[in-house]
Amino acid sequence: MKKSINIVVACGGGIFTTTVVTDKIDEILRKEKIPHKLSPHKITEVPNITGADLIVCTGKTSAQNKSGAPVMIGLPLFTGVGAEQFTQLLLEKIREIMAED
Amino acid sequence: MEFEGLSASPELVITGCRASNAEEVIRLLSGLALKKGYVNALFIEKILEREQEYPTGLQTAVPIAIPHVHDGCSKSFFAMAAMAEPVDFGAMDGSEEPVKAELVFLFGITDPSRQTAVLRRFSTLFQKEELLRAFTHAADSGELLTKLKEVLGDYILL
Repeated sequence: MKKSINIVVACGGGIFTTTVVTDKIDEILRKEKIPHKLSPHKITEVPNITGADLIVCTGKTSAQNKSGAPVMIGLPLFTGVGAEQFTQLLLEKIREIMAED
Repeated sequence: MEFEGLSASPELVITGCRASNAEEVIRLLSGLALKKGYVNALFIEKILEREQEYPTGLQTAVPIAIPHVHDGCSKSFFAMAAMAEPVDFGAMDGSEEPVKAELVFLFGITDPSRQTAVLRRFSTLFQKEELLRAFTHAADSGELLTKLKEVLGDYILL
C-alpha cells in the first residue's frame, strides 16, 4: 500500500489548464481524504518525468512516460464536459495505484 | 486568498470580429495588448507557436478558444473577440475536427501561481451556455465587459 500518491498535471504551456485542473484534483482528493502531492509540468516534459505515480494531461498527447507512470487525459475537469465520469475513472485509477506496494 | 486580477478594457474587446483563421484573431488581439504596452513582440511569436503545437479550441456548449502564454507579458490581461462568423481553431483534446470558435478569450499571464483563483473563475464561465450566448450577442465591447464584470467581479480590473 502506498501512503500517498504523487500526481503530475501537464498541459501545453503549463499555465492555464494545468492550474485549474491541479486545483480541481486537489479538491477531489481532499474530499476523498487521499494523501497526495500535485506538481504542474509541461506536456513536453512528460516522457522524462521521474517519480510520478500518475500523469494527468489536459491536452492531446501520445506521450508515454519513460518511467512507466500511466497517462490520463484530464480535459473534462477543465471544461466540465464529462467531469463526473472522469472523476470516477481518476479515483479508480488512483485506488488501483495505491493498492500496489 | 491573495490574487492578482486581470486587466481588461473596452479597447481589448472586439465584437462582430471578422477573421479568416485562428492566427489572424490571435494577431489582432495580441496587437491590441501590444499597443497597451502589456506585451512585447516575443509574446505574439510565442502565443502563435504554442497554438500551432498545442491548440486551444474547446468544444464547450458555445465553442471557444483560449490562446494564452506568459512569455513576453509584463502585465496580466485578458482580451476577447466575439466572432461575426465562427473561426476554426485546432482542438485541445486532439480531435481531428477543428473547433468552430464563436468566442476567443486571449490571456497574458505573468505569474500562474498568483492567478490560480482568477483562472479557475474564468474556467467556470466556459460551462455557462447562456452567458456565453449572451457574449456572442453583445452589441458592443462596453456591454460585453459589463456582463463579464458582473460575473467576475474583482477578478478583472477595468
